[in-house]
Amino acid sequence: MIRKIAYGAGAIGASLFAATAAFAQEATAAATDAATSAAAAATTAAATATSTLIAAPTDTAAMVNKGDTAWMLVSSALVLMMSIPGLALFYGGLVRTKNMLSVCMQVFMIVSIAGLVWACWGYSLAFTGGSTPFVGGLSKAFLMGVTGSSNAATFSNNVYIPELVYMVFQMTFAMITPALIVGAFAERVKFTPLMIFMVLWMTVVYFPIAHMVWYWAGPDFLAANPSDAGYLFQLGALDFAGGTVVHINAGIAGLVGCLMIGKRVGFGKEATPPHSLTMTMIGASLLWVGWFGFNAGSNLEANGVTGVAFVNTMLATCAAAVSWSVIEQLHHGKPSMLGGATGAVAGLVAITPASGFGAPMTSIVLGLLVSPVCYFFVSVVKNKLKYDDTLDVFGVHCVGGIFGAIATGIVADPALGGQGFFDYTKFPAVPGTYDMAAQVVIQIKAVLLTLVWSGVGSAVLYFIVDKVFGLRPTEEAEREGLDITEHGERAYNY
Amino acid sequence: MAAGNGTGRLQGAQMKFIIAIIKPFKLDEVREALGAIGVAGMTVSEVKGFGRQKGQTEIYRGAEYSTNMLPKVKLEIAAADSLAPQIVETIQQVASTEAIGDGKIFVLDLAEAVRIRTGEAGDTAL
Repeated sequence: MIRKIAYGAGAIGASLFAATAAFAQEATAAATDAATSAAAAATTAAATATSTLIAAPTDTAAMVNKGDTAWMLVSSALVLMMSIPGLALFYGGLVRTKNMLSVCMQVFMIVSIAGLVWACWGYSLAFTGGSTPFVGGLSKAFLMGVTGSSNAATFSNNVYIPELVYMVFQMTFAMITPALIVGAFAERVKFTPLMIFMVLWMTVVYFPIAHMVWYWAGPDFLAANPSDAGYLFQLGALDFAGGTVVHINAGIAGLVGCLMIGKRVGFGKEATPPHSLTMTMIGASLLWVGWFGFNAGSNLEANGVTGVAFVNTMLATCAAAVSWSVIEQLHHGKPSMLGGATGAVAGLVAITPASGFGAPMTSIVLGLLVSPVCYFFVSVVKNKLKYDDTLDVFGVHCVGGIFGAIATGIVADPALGGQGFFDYTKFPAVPGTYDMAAQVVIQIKAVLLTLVWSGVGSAVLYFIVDKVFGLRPTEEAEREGLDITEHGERAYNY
Repeated sequence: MAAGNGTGRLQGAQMKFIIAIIKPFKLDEVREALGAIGVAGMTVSEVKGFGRQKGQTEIYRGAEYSTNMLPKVKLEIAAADSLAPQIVETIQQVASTEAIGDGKIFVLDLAEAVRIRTGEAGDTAL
């Protein structure tokens, strides 16, 4: 979500974008003409704009755009739709009938609780400057000072969105990330202890990682105070919409959880086929639609780069769904609906960090390649190592997230049609010099830090919550099904 | 559940109870053919079982499950002796696909039948 074309530096932005289009699309003469004239027009506009840019503005009211605001509100609602009902149905369809509601309820309540936690202390811990670059402070706890008239920075000089809009957009990310984790130990966890775990996990793991990757002073302020940013931001890690913060983070927490909570009763002996792949297909499709809010919304503005992120998200997902189905056709002779849906989600995960950085054609390559990697993990590695990651949170989200995060370092290279990055330590921002090898190393560092922070943090929290409250239901309750034993209801009464 | 008054009862009535296990998609065809030869009613249930037909393999993200029990439809028909051979023949012909898994027909002697509404018994109750 970090660095990209600055709106204020429109001339550079437009010409870079034109170059991107030319590279990736083998532009026809007509297209080139159009791009050139667009760039020329932008140059004129930018010449005027640049002269009036204000560093560290004190009054940002006139720098808020109605179109940006509207898009961000829509995006926030789209990301909520990913969690409920998208993720709840995607996961719910994959468990057995007796556990359907437990999964739906876990996702639904995590979303609700995360919203409250975010407003009370999450937003502040993630998005204020702290005494360390690892976590924010409490100056905006309980939304202190966040009002209808305060504004938040975007990625462009002198462009702002209302801070409440930014806050609620980021809130929806804090809702879905913990909800992703529950798939790893679905069908075998007690509800209330899980909710307590999630409050702790957000506080100790999610908010610090969101802060490290996404917090920064903003394009009008960073030049004056270059250290006012999260640790991974300062390192130069690129994560457009949350490959590290959301997917690797949740994926590794899921793996640790499924190992510490243990295998389901009868794992490997009893058949545990999905109870409704229809639900799973509906859920995966809602995830796909909602993901446009997630990825394109992460641009924080409605402009050309938003379009890039949108199209990249679309194409990578199509490619990954196709390649997963092709692999199944080759391996088992039959392409399954579950495979198609899983491939689509793997593609969405992989393109997330790269969505605003890559180009349409490199996004297709990214999508084609992520499915074989994830397929290998969910159908070969998992069976060999015999861990019971019920719904493949690790195999799809963590593995796909790592693949995407590292690939972002490659596809962002302007030499491959990527968007490159902007150097916000200058005012106004200027394009940075892209070094692919160095960027990939930075990406790997960000992945490793996320894996360690989330892996260790999650392990400690699972241990504590298990000792104090107990995470695992009795064997009898697990056999009966969590819908009845934890929630006192059945999903289906025919 | 002996019939209360026994008046409508035909002692020694000759009836058969026919149980047929068939492929589910053949149900409508069989029902139509039986209706055409005068069968007035039947009971149908969805059942699972196995015979010579092999099960199916299902694969979910690489996890393979073989299902040994296949879904079938079970028909239960009570009929007068005179009609029974024709019923059996009709089911056999209509339900056949000439492949394994087409099912079986069992014929039992039926000792008694009572219509609950009227108390009629024997083959008049059918």
